[in-house]
Amino acid sequence: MNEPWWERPVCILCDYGLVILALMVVLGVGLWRLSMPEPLGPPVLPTVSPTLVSTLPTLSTPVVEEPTQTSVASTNPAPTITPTAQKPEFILVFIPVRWQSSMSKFREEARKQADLFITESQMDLYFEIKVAILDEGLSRADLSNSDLELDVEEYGIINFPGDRYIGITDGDLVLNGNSTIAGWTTFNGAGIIAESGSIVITAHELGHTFGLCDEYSYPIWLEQDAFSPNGCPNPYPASCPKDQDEFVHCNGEPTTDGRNSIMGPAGMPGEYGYNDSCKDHLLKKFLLLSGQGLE
Amino acid sequence: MKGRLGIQFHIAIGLLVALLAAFLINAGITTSQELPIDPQKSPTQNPMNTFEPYRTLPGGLLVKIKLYRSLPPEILAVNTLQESRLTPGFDGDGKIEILGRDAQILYSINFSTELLKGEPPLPVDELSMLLILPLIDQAQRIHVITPEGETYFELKE
Repeated sequence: MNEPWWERPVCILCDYGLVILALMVVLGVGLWRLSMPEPLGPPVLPTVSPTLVSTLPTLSTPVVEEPTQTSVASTNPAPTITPTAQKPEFILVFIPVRWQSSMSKFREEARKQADLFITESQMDLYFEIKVAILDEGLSRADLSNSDLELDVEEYGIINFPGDRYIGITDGDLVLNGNSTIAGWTTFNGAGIIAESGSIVITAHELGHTFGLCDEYSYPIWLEQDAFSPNGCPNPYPASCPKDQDEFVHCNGEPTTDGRNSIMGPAGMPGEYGYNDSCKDHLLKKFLLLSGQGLE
Repeated sequence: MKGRLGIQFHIAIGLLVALLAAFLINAGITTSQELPIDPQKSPTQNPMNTFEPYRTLPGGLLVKIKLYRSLPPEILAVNTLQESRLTPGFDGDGKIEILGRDAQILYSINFSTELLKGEPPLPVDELSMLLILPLIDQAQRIHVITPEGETYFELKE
């Protein structure tokens, strides 16, 4: 009863002093860090200098986005690796290039070319595919410009970000003086230029962007095989002649159900499809790109 | 009751000990965060390299480069984009990096240096290429490396 007023709290400190001290340390660290003038880490610098880097304008291009059709099971053997449910998005952007006919015809052409690729490659097993068809494009493009596929890609990047940019023209493409050419691209690139009329052109050029080689000429196949780091994933058909000129000597390896090879020449009668080795490579590539093969 | 300190002393000493401990802990945290960054460190280990392809992102850098068969690469132009989808990394032997202060690698991808173009795609001596990189505030330079050499592009003056 004679104890002074402060004795009881001091006794509490004696009994629980360590706990209280720990709480005060935590509080102290918090207060100290809050009182720091600048957060830790590198200082935030101004964004890219406008004197060196210009911002490209975005056009208000009307865009028609359409759902894709689901690929139909083919006669080819099913992929051995089962894709998971989580699929990243892959956008195919179709851009009119010096398109003279109506826009409805352009949309129809783009739709057909996209459908052949999606159905035959079975890419939709690994990606959620969107097809964007632009109503405006490169209306004054030079169809003999050998960098036209790059112009298509740049136009697409600026106006509608996607993953592949396909320029379609109803004019006559000319590459290095060759007017029989119906389309071109770069290996592992993202831009394509293709003529309308044959729905196989886009699927053929998209095949190149995923590393597939041509099957219609042995010296061409040989050169692509030599310049690809891992060689051509699709072999030159064993049944085809190995002539040493660059003319078409081979129809390519047909699919198991007898259709023409997409990586063979265009313009043959009958339907087209990716043959087994092409499809096998594409599925492995899609598996890797979609991140499902990295586990 | 003799020999016990008053509560005011307990509180004062407790606070002093707490602040001292806070200072020491904070100094430890700061030192560990300011360790020098090895520029050779794999970019995949960099916590900032969290950008993913196949997504539309706000902002971006459009980098136009030119590859040569027997010359170092060139960076032709760099433009900012309002939105972008990043170029996915390939297994190729070319590499493009965004460098920050002290050559810190903020972002890096490999790309294919196959100079094959046309129809049929055949070897060419030079090839222009477009690569899309994320917009990063701390970016100072862009660095392109191919088997033929390397080049830089200054983003900051």
